[in-house]
Amino acid sequence: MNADPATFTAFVEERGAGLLRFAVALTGDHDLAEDLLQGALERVYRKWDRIARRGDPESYVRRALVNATRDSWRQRQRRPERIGLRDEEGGSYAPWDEMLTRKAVGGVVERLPHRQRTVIVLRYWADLTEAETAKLMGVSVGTVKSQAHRALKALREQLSLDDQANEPVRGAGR
Amino acid sequence: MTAHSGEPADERARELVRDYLDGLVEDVELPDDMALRVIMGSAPPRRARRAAQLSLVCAAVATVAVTTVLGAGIVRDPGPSPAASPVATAAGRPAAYDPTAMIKFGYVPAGLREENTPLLPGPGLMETRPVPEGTRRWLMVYRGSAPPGQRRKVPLIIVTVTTGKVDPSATRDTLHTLDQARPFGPVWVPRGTATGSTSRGHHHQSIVLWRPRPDLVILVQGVNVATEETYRFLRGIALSD
Repeated sequence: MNADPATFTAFVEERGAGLLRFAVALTGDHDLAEDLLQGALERVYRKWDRIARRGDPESYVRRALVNATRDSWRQRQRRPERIGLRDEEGGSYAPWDEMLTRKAVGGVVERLPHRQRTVIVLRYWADLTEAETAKLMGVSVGTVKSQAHRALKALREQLSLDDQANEPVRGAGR
Repeated sequence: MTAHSGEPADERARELVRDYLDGLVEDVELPDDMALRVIMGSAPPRRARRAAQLSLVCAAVATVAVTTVLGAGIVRDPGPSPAASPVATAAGRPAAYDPTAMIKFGYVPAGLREENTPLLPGPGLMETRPVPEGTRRWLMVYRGSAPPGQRRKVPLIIVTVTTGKVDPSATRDTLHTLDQARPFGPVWVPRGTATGSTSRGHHHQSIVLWRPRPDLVILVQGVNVATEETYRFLRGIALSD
């Protein structure tokens, strides 16, 4: 390995927090996200000089995180379901009604199939285009569209938004 | 994608997702030693940390969510007061009884107010195992206002009461983990026994499991409330037999 620790450290200090938030959004699990980020950074560090020369190492890490999340999700499917949200586990306490709404939304999001969840994170939270999302996930634009459609359909149905479109969900969107 | 008659619903769904994910990542902080860990090739410390974590309750918050966020996820009012409900709802579980009439909350930290009164029955969603046969859980929440500019630092005191064939250690084992929790230790109470722990994760939390009598466990969880205040709240609870 012939990596420059100084430039790598500077990269992590500058971009690491955003990458960790990205990983948390993808996984819904802070600890898992931290593990996946460290693993992704370790892979990057092994080829750091080459990746840094190419430019945009952040995209490389993001892609690695998307792939790692997919793999971990497959592993998690084999484990017993773990009920609960980190939000209540010493994490955040939102205002009460907001928390209830978030919990309801989180319940739906956490149950989405991996690809649907990844698509909505990339499209609606990371604000990537369909093409950017497709490239990051290594799928076609058509797949991104169909997965987004299914995810929104699930959210609409399970949160009864079709019936309540004109009524604000209490506590949400503050 | 086919056009959907509920485009506003799609937009609402996107908005809710964004809000949920924003909340999820709001307190995320990169460990200071992340780059060093990578460079040194050291294992993530969280694995060891997780092994040392204690199982604690977060049940109460989720329990309210269960009772108020019904299937579709739309927030509704908690519904009729269980105090007005016949105690006979516990019929078939002879060891479980309605503790409403026998528990009075005395001291309440300044600024906190009752979120729901009286105690609400509810399943323990956050528990990793079902509520043991022959027990029943009730919930009470006091909530305050977040300090200016720290809207997520809402002070809460959450009380979960379990009646019936209660085993505190079994109860503790079913609870969820809490970051940076200290080991449980004895807590002085006017009657019975109590064990408690504190956590200094993202939010200061104190948990006390109090067993004033063999068929009753009162679990008090203070969130963003000083440990002393949580203990004072606990000791202010009056029980009538």
